[in-house]
Amino acid sequence: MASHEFAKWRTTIASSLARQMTYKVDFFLMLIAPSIVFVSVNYTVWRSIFTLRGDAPIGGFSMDEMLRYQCWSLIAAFLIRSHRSWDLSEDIRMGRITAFLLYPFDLWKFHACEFLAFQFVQIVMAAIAIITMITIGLIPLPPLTCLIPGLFFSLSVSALWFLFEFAFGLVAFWLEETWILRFVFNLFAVLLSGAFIPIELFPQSLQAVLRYTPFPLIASLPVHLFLGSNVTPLPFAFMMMAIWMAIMTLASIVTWRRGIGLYSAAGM
Amino acid sequence: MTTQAIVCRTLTKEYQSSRKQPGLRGTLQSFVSSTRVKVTAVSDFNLEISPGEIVGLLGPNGAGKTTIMKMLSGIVAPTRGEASVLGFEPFRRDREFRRRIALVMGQKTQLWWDIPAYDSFQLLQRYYEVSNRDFKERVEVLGTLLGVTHLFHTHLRRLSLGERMKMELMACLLHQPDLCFLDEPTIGLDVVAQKQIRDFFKEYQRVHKTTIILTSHYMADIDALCPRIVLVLGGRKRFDGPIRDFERILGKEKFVSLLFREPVEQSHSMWRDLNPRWDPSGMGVELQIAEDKLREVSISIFSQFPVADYSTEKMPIERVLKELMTNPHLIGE
Repeated sequence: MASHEFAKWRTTIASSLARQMTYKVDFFLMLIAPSIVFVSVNYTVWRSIFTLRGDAPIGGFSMDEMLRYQCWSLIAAFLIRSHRSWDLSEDIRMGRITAFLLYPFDLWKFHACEFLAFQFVQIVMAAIAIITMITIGLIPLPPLTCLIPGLFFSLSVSALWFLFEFAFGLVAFWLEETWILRFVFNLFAVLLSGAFIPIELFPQSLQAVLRYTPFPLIASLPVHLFLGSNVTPLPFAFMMMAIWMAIMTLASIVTWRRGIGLYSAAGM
Repeated sequence: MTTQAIVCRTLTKEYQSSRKQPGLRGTLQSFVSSTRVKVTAVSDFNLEISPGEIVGLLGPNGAGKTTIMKMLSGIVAPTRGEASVLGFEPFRRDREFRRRIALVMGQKTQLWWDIPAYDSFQLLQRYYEVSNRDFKERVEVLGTLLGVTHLFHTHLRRLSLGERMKMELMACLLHQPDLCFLDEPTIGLDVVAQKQIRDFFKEYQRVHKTTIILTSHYMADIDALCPRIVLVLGGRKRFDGPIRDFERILGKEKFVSLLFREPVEQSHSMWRDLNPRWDPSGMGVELQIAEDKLREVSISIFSQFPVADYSTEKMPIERVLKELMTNPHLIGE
């Protein structure tokens, strides 16, 4: 029984990888887009800001520290925030989830496999990015005591990101379009997670509130773990991650159960 | 425990539909307050189907046929009523239930567009837990029957509509379902491909005794495959019985077409009670002849007129359906 289930997951992941790589240009652009954004926005902007200020520290960050922070932020983005469940909303709206209501393999499992396949590619990309950055001297070789916890935390929290994406996708049972919802969430995710501006530069009151939101988990915390400058106790971070995962799992279950009653399998 | 493959009682599906007036004004109006109306797609539908039966669901577009299929396959939830399919409540979608049914949608592909069909088959092999030996054997048999083995490794998006449909059929039958829902499986296909698929299902059903529910707008599909038909009009069942009874629902008359070598006298007493429909040239006519008088009247016509060609109606079901769709009152509630 368990071997059958394992075979289903393994074959779906392999099939998902094959589909991702079918359109080679698309695949290549998807992989390099975050790096292009990083070079053209994060790295350049922060470098300019420090140059304008005569290299004076900002919020305790020197220019080198800030640029290293931004480099690890890119790695965290590869590992955590890159997956998008655009297809789920579109599939619900266009009635394309019908097949998964018939197959003895649930829709959430299929999407989880798609996510795992995507993560596999992202891990390779992150590894390439780390090696490149070390080679060209953007970051020093990280000690394993920083790299391993950073990778472990990033990959754990990517599951939370998947749950967010999945739950937002399911809202398509009610809303014709869900892209604006995702856009707003992604905007908040970038601004409040410390992906671009480190949370330490935010007002104290906002920092206190953000501690209880999922946002620092998806950028600030893993970046600090990679840098070896953890500011939030790990048990608290894992507890927040577990709480948010439980909330999003529950939200997905409730949304699915209610939403599926409204599903009309349009176009069939 | 029921021995029927399908039993449903007072199955009803209602849904809300929003209406919008045309133009900018309508758009602004709908932004402030949208008008929603309740639509009844299927109403108090009862049905019993025995294992191994092939039943054709007939009706015009929007009659509720596909909604019935969606409810019976567990895709959509009924608003009211109950259904038992292979002993399961469809909308609960038990894993065992899903393992025993299949749905072919002529208007929608279920296979993955971006990979070859064979890769999709392998995925389905895992989902349905088909052993390697059975998988290889079934793929070989089905592929040969449908004549598509040479296309297994071509990306699905590169196949023609007919080839794709054959792959869909294969995908749906790999796990040898006990019950198969076929929703317009031949839509958009050329006549050759339509016939191939009809013949394939005939043979497949003969061997496997699969219960099949078929909807199709091509009466040739229904005529060739379904000994029993269920007519759905306005979401309600209006006929359920053998196809030959359906053909006679409007009377036991045969429709006969005649072509003459030269124009004949249209006012001749021979035609009086035969409801003639003449073509403009006066050299062709369609007659309605009582079944029990067909031989006698035909001989009489042959002896009196220069008949060049004679044919009886090929598919009375098409005419009957057309007539009932235009005049649903002709059939009782």
